[in-house]
Amino acid sequence: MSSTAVEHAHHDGPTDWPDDPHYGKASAGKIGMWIFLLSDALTFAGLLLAYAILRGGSKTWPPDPALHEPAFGIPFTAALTFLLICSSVTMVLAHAAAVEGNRKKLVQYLSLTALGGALFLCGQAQEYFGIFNGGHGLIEEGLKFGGSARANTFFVTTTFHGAHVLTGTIYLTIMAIRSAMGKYDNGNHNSIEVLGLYWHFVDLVWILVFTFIYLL
Amino acid sequence: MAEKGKKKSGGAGDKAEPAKQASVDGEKKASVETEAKTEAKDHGAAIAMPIEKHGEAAASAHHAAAHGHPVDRREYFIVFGVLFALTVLEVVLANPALGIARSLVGIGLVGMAIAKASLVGYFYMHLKHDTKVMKLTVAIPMATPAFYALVLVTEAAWRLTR
Repeated sequence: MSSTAVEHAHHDGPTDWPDDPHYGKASAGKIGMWIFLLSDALTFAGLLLAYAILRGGSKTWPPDPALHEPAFGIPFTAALTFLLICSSVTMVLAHAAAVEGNRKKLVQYLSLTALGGALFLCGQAQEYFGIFNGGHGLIEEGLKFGGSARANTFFVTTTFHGAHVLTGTIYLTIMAIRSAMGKYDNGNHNSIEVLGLYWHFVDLVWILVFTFIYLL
Repeated sequence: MAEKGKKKSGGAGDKAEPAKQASVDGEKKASVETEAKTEAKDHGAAIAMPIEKHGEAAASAHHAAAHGHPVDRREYFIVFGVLFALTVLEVVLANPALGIARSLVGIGLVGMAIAKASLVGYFYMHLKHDTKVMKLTVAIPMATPAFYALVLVTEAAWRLTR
C-alpha cells in the first residue's frame, strides 16, 4: 500500500498495459511494429538472397567485365553508415528524454535524428546522381538499372532501403512536431519507443546491406 | 484501514486507545500519500522515486515493470563505440590490398555484420529488456533467412568442389 504514490505516478499516462504472461508490458503498438518489421526483414532477406543467388551463379562479378561498371565508393558509404549509427544514438537519447519527461531534449534529439535521415538521403542522391559534383555519380559512370544483375540488385536493394529512410525521416519529423506540442509528456513515451524500433531497424538493415552489397 | 480501527474502538473499551492511535496513523499515512501523489503528478514521474522511503531498489524495480526498463546512457555509448570500431574494422578487412584470402574476408565481414545488427537489436531496440517469448518472436524469423542463406552457400560451395 505504501507504494501507491509511486505506482500512481508511474502509471500516469496511457503507457500502462496489463502484464501479459508471455509478452510482459509490451504494448499493442510495440508488438504491431515488430510484426511489421519482421515482415519487412523477410522482404529485405528476399532481396539479399536474390542478390546472393545471382552473384553465386555468375562466373565473374561484375557479371560482364566488358561493361566497365564503376566500383562502389567504400569510404563515402562507410561515412553514410557512420551517419546512420549516429542517428540511432540520437534516437535512443530521444527515447531516454521521453522516459524522463524532458520535452525540450526529446524534440532536440528527434530533430537531430530526422536530420541524420535527411543527410543520408542527400548522400544517396550524391552516390547515384552526383548532385554535389555536377552529375558525376554511379549512373553517369555506367551503373545503369537494367544493365546487369549487379546494377539491378544494387539499385533495387538500396532504393528500397532509401524508401525506408525517407519514410523514417517523415515519421521522425511528424513525431518531433507532436513532441513539441506536448503530446508525449508525462511519461507517455510508448509512441517514441515504437518510432525508435522503426528507426533502429532501418539502421540494422543498412548495416547488412553495406556489408553484403558494398564490402563483400 | 482507518474504518477497521474505528469499529474496534467502539467494541472494546480497553483496546480503544491503541486502536484509535492506529486509525490516526492510518489517516496520517493516507494524507501523506495524497500529498506525494499530487506532487508526483505535478512534477512528473522522475521526482516520485526519491519520495518513496522503502528503498529505491523496489521503486526502480517497479519502474522497470511499468515502463520496460530504466535508461542507461553509458551502455548506449559503449554500444556506439563498438559499432563504430566494427565498421572501421570491416572497411579495413574489405581492402583487397591486404592480401587476405577472400573466404576469410567473407567470413569475417559476415560475422561482424551479424554482430553489429544483433547489438542494434539487443540494446537499441531494447530486446534486452523484453520477455523471453518476445525475444524468440524476433529471433526466430530473423534467423530463418540466415539459415536459408547458409544452406545456399554450402550448396554452391559443394557444387564448386565437383
